[in-house]
Amino acid sequence: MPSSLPPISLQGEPVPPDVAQRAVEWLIDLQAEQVPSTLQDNWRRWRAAHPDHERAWQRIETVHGQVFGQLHHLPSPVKSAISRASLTPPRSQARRNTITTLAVLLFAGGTTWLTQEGDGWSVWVADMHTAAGERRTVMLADGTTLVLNTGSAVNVDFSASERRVRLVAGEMLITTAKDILARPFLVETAQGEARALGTRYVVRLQDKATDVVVFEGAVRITPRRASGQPQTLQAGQRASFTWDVITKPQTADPDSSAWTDGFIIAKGMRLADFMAELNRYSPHTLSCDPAVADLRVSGSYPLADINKVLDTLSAMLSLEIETVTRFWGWQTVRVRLAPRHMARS
Amino acid sequence: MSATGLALNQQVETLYCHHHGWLWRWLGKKLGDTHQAADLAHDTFVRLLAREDAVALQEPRAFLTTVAQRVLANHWRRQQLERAYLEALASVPQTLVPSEEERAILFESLLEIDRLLNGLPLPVKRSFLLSQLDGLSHAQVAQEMGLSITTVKRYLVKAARHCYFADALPG
Repeated sequence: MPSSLPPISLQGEPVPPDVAQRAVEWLIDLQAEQVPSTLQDNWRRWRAAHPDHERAWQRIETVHGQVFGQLHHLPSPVKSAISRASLTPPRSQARRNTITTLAVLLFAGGTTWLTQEGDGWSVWVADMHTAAGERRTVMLADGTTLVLNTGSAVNVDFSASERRVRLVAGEMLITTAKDILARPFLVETAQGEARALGTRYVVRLQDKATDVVVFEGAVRITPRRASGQPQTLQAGQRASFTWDVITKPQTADPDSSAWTDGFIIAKGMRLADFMAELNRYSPHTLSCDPAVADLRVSGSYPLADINKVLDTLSAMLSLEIETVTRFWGWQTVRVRLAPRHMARS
Repeated sequence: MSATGLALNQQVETLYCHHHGWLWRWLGKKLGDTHQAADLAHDTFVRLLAREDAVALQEPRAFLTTVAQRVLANHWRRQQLERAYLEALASVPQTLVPSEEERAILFESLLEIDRLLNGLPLPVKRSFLLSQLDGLSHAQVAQEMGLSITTVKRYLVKAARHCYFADALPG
């Protein structure tokens, strides 16, 4: 990393507006996941066609290199910390945004769940959210702690009669505190709600279902549909529920809260399942070749350094790490584990 | 130094002699801190010296207030970003937190990014940062923000235009 950042100045003749426009259009096209070779040829021809074109392109490369170039090697949680901080609205704008958000929430009212599933906006406007690879512990006003796992978002809604937390995305571990007002504590998801009866439990939102794992105390699950019967889970039990059905309670795996300490613990897990789990913590898509999907993985793996986990896996299972990067820029698009002889075929 | 440069220096010097004390007190009232006020009064005059056109001497205090207000706004923004930066770093896993020196350098980058993207609507800024800094693909940005890929591309072009060609914006 350079020791100091030279101030960026826009030197030389200004670039004609239409050339500037074309240059940034090229940039965005070239950063796509797939760049056909005809596009690359056309771009090279455009650069060579006029000195203004080349000058515009050089400007992009210089400024981009100075600003983002030294950041690309940073671990992704640090990058996302910088990007989140840069999005702090200026003072006056912050006030205006709050008003807009309020208006949206009031307007959306009771039907929000119908449209909110997997919607990026609902994650963004949530009271608290975490990026891929990030984990955060928050304490609520009553002393309850929430540990938010990677890519999670929650809204907190405490009233005079209840303490309600809405899980909009991801997963969290809840350790409830005794409330001086003795209000019930409940977690609401798109599929229904899980009411705490003095407890420590994990709620995870999947595509079409909510998983609940209880470590201490008990939790009562009520699916959203009135026809679904409520059911109480005891400590050491787990279950999943949809809008109208709850699965039979099963024995909970005590390792399923290992993420709160920053680990995945696998015991003879299929490699494909392991990669899908690891993928939640990574900004890039992680996968493995179907030919090696059934290899078994055991051990405890630190979530803070995904690259190290991939290195370990490739060494242990004699696999190749295939990394696909963007044509222009430094970004990794996806990482795949494949058998050694097949790599780069 | 050119003749106009020399003339400008003399104008700034005149302003400094007659109004520096007043500006310092004015900033002190805004900031509630005389040391910071002294720093920012200094910054205001440095900014005047870096100008290419003449300074307005007819209404010196109105003129100084305008320039100082910009310095003050930068100062508030910097403080605001610093707080947001420290807060955001607090959620980074312990093993990945950069050293103190690196943190300071990264903060300078953050200020630079803020300056380059200043004035863009928040969703446009956010699309751009997700794509350029977090390294998400267009499709991933679209999914993250609940937008179509076409809209995301339009936002990215708009932000890149603003970031790289601030001097060649249309209209």
